[in-house]
Amino acid sequence: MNPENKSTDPDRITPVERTTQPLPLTDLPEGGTGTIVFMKFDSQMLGQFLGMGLLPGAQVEILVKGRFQHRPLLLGVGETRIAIGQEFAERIFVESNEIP
Amino acid sequence: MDQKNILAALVGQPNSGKSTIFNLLTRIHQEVGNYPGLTTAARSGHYHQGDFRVEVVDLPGTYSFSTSSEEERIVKNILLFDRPEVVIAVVDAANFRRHLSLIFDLLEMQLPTIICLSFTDMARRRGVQINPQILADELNVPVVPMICQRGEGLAELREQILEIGKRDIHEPTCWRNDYGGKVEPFLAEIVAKLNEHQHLVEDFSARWLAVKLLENDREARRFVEHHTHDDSWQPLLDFASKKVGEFQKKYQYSAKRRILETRVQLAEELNNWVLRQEKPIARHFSDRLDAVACHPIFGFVLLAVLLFIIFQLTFHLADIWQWLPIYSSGHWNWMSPVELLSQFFHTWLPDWIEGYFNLGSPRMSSFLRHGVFAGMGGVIQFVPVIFIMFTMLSLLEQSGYIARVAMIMDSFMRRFGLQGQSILPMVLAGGISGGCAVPAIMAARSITNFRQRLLTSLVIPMLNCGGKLPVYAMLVASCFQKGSGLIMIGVVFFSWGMALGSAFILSKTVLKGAQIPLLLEIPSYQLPKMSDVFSTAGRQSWEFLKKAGTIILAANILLWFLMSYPDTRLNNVPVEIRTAETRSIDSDAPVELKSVALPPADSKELKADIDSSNMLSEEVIENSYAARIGRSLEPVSRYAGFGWKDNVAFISGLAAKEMIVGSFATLYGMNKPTQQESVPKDLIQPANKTLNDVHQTGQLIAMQERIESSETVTKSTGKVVSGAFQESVAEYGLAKVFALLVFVMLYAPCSGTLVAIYRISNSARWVVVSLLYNTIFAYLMAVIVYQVGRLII
Repeated sequence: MNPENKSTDPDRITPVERTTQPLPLTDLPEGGTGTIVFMKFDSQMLGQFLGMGLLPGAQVEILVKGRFQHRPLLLGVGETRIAIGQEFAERIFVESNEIP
Repeated sequence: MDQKNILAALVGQPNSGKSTIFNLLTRIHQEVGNYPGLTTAARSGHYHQGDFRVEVVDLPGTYSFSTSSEEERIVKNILLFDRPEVVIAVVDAANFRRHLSLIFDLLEMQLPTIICLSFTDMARRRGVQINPQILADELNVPVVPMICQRGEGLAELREQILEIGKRDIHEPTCWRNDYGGKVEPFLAEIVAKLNEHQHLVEDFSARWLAVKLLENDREARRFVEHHTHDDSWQPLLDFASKKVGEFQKKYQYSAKRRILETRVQLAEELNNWVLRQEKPIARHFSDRLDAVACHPIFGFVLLAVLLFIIFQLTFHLADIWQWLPIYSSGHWNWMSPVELLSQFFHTWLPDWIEGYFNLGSPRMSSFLRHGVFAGMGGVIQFVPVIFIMFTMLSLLEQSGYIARVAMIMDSFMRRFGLQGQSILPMVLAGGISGGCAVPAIMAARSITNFRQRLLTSLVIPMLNCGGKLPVYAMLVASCFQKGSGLIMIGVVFFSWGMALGSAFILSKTVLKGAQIPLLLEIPSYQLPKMSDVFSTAGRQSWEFLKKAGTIILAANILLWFLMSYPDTRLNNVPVEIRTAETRSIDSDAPVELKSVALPPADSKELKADIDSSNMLSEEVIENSYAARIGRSLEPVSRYAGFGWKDNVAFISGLAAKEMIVGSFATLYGMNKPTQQESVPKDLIQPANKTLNDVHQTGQLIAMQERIESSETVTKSTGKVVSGAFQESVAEYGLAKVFALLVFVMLYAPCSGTLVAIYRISNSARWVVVSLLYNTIFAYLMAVIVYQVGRLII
């Protein structure tokens, strides 16, 4: 979960070339979009995410973001809408599409 | 006629339209919930075509074949061991790409697959065009596009099923995914090793098994182990593990990752070939609705409003509005459905049967009235309420709203070890007051995680189901002149507190486990199909009715027996009745029950006396087996202020909570004809006052109406709380009333609920846990309430 460890983490996939520092999904604002760069899950869990269309390279949009802690996020991935707990969301790293 | 059987299995992701296609194929209406994971067990139906009988199995929805969830295991086992002649892979055209990984697995397993594209119309509206021909050519399998709403493509699908199903030998597909230079050599080595094991290669696709073994898939290893009768599986699995390790060492990368990546790439490639996105993906109307429905504040407001409407409508339609014209005793009356059923089972049906069969014996009459029809009627009169409530919930479910409820309630429920999906079953069980735990536990089946499902089912019985409300009404109405509305509101909050608190305790002890964060697909909103809504509601009500006909009937007959035997009036024991009557719970004298074995009464005088009285009268109960059990519990129950009469009432509630109020009425002597005339006036007054108080608070109107209706029932049967109970209260203090309230709310679930818990957990262990935990917890709470209450009040 610690971004510093990502370079040594064997469990990551990085098919997209990075230009800026990837952020955890939870750092995107409501209405913000991004491209998934890598996801830190064991292979078991990853299968489930891939089945839902959450995979590196996918475009995600934060449709609803709770203001309170531990509120699930509502994501849009293509035509799919996914409610995802914060604990999961902070292990998905994205590159924000908006240049600050 | 000699018919060939074809087994066709429907496989697909949750919400892909599997159940809709199943309905179209078999024409047996099945649940089509717009909620991921509704089909948790395989269902089947069949149809005939030509000389063939096609059996269709609707398998649970799975996102992929690479995790070890319960659903996946069921699906894999059926596909690999039942060997269906045809596998229909349902793919939601609007979400084409993410379904591909499942398709790859099916093809790799060398299963005879047909791809069925569902929701092509919706995809087209969103600007997604899929070319089925290219897909069929690429994967070398038949592809059938369908428009489910109109049944378009059904004939073609049936044609293809027949085409593939009637073949005697399945031709292996020539499709093969190239996993690239790194993975392929390893796969080849494992395949070579597998070829040494003839039985495995004959029954499974060697390449699929090799891929899974290289992925280090637990399930595949289990297959190999269980499918080999000698010890030869051990070296094979060791070899596979060695290869997994070698790959990791050589490339500093797990083989599974590499395999997943190539599949993702292949899916991307195929997606580009087959699919044309004509319009950019845009925000839909659905998303605009979600901005409100999933909003942290408006979401809750909307939920509260919807729940309020559901309960208002449910109770008005079923219980309060008298909209059924009934012709009886020479003129037309208006009745509500609940009243009608109650009348039917408590008066008309027993009267008719007695008249028709000319049953003169009071024992038989009592058996019919109290043993058979009272319990059955008590349950069946709730069917209208349940049917209407299920219709409303089915509407919400099909519209797609329920998944949103799970999302907005998730973080709150998690604090107590539950999750968002638990909220709906809890509301159904009586979270607002007046529900039923049995359909609620049935609704809890949609929770995918077993531990969470069980935890929800275990705390559900603590909420205020319809059977408990008359007890509360009786207690409150007879003991409080003021503030009864407030007490009722307090009861609702208290029961929520207890249920959530229990969930917290259980999740920290017997149901310990890591909390899995929420991951839930939110389907887009859909206009519900009314025929599906009604058939779902009808089926759920039927499940509920079955409970009335079986377990509750049996429990009720047993209870009648316990409360009617031994019939001491046949013996000469008036003295013993006296002693029992004057016993107080504080007396330390051991219970003396001499069953004086006198010869059965043959004197005509005595018999005539018995004939004239009701069998289930106070005197009979006082010496019955039930009373003996009740008395034997007194040494324990007296710490909570409960005497044997209370204990007997609690025992009767184990059959169905609806029984408690009747037992109280009987035990505290409401059946005495002398009291019947004088009691109602001074009792209905305070009862009505209570109801007014509840009404004035402007809240919990549904609950009030529930009570009101139970009031009409009690009025009609002449069982109204009598002074005897008030005397008892005067003796033990108001603390006893509170202790009774708490105990009735929390103690062991009724027989029907226990059966539901057994069904959902599939083990008697959890039934015992539920019985013991709830009863002990309720007892402790009642003791605390009683002891503290005595000090304060």
